Amino acid sequence: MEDSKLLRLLHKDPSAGMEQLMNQYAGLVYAVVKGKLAQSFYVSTDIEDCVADVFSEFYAELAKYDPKISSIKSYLCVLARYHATDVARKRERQHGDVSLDDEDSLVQIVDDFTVDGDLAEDELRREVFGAIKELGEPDSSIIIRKYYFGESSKEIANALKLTISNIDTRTHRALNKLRRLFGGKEV
Amino acid sequence: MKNKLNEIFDEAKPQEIDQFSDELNAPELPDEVLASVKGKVYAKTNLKKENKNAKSVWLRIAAVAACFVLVLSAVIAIPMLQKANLPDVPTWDTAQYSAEDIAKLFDSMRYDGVATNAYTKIYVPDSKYLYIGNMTDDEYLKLYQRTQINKELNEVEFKTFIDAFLPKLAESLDAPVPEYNTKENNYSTGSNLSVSVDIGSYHLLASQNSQRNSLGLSKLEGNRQIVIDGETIQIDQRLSDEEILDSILSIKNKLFGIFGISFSNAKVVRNFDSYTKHGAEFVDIYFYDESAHELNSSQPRPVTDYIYISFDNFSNYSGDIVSDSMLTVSSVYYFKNRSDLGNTPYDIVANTKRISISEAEALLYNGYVFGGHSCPLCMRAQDKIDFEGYDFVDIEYVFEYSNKNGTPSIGIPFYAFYKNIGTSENGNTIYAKTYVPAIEVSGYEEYFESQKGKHQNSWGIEAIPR
Repeated sequence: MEDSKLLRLLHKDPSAGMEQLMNQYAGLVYAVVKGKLAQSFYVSTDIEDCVADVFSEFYAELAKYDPKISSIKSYLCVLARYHATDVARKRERQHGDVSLDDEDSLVQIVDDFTVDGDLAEDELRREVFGAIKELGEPDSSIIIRKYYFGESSKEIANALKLTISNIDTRTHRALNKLRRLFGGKEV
Repeated sequence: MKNKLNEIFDEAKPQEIDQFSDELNAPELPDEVLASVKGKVYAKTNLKKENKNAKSVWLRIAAVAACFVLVLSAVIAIPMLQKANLPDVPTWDTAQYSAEDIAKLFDSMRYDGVATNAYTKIYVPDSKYLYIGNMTDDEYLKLYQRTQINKELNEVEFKTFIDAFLPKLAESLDAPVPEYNTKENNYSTGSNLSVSVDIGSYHLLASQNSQRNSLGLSKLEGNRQIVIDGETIQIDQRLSDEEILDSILSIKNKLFGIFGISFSNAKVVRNFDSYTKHGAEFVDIYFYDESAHELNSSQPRPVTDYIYISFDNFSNYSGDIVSDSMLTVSSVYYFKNRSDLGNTPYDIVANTKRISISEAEALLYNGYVFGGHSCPLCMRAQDKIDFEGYDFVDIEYVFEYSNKNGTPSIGIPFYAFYKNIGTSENGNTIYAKTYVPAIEVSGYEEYFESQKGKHQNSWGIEAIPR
């Protein structure tokens, strides 16, 4: 259902609107939350709770959502990322700084991404997102899958029908390209 | 250290995410998870679950009655039909391995706790690129085990490995010998040492893990071609495998000289996809010793030391050449097992009775399959496939990928079944490939029953061939 119709339904019949919203976007929100939590320690119920929080907040703050600024899809993704980060931080405090990184190819990529710090954060984000888009396919998808959905190289390789080493090489090249663009140190 | 890119995504605003809306796609949730999430949302928001408009009582009673009759018919008739069509599942109650053990060979089971995909899709212009070997009639099949894992990282050994070739490599690339630093990286699957350094306009990435030292050389800028001693590494993909190997003889000898090693055998492996309209997407050339280990002839990649050149045929980088013929963008890799592992990283641990092809088919047709290395996300795209009348079958070993808990990694032989399921947008033939253990395994029915919900996958689509 298109955003405009979905919004009308949410205002006219909140129950039906939320039902439709969750049918449409619960999978996406779940994937974003899982991707973020995969970088830290979490328990399985965290994901569902977090997804429920995202939709509950969306409903509670429906008046704040402005369709002229972004799509519902993107708005939910940002909410999902925010809530998942919150859960991850809580869990890290409870369990110490446990970090999971399922890079498993034989030649490991070194993917710390640094920039020279001259750009303001907002400007930097815009520039980085533009640059990721400019990478073209499949590289922009690889970067989004890896750093937004938290998928491993193996998962991405399977989804995109590429080899793991190719995913790592493409990630490495893409990150180096981004580093070069933003004055960071190549690795 | 927290990744900057993750930070950037954490701080992103909705309007910035909008530009990636095409990439932001995820499968639907399974019904039970969706219902659970909805329940929590309704509880938090005081919303009530949506009810359809009330129908008349008689209409509802009639509908319920009709459904009851239908369900009753289905409960009785469908299993009868299925039972009539499907062969009996063979059982081996005393087998060394259970279906649950077998499932653990595959990553999705190991890391996500879900059953494997029903099948993997392979795209080829010709079935010869499935690289199906001649199946022997051996009554017994060997089981392999990786000889040693979790060998301690050793920086001195790693530097010795690098220093042995770096001066020669730099000279061949017409670049100064670079200074480098080693870095230790810790991952959930283990640790490694790495070196990431530029050699002139080229980039070298070397690493040491518990099993081997390795390196990858590529050029990230410009035409991304590697030129060794004035000769560009390139092949014409229109040539036959033998002709390609002949054409690259001089490069092979130069690489042997740089790395101080020589191998007797070579093979070309071409990788195709569903969209490239310029031949192969990658062509990999392996230099190795086939006689160094019997698995070298049956596995796509050698299990002993090898050099390989990987040619890309990408279209997404500016300046890249997408070519129907000459492939000039390459990377060079060298994998060397760590010294005291020698050249025999796999031991034979057992000779196990092989099941017959008809027994394997019974398992295949009943859906007792392991679809390959896969992830839950991939399952969303899987349509059900009837493997009856499959096109090819081969024996293939699948090795447990594990250096996490120190247990030896086992390699089990599988029947790999291939079924032609259509044509991709670029004209390649699509084959569905799925695995059935080629040895006796216990507990199929129990395991698959326990995995029913999971095997239908996390994303709500049944992932069993039939």
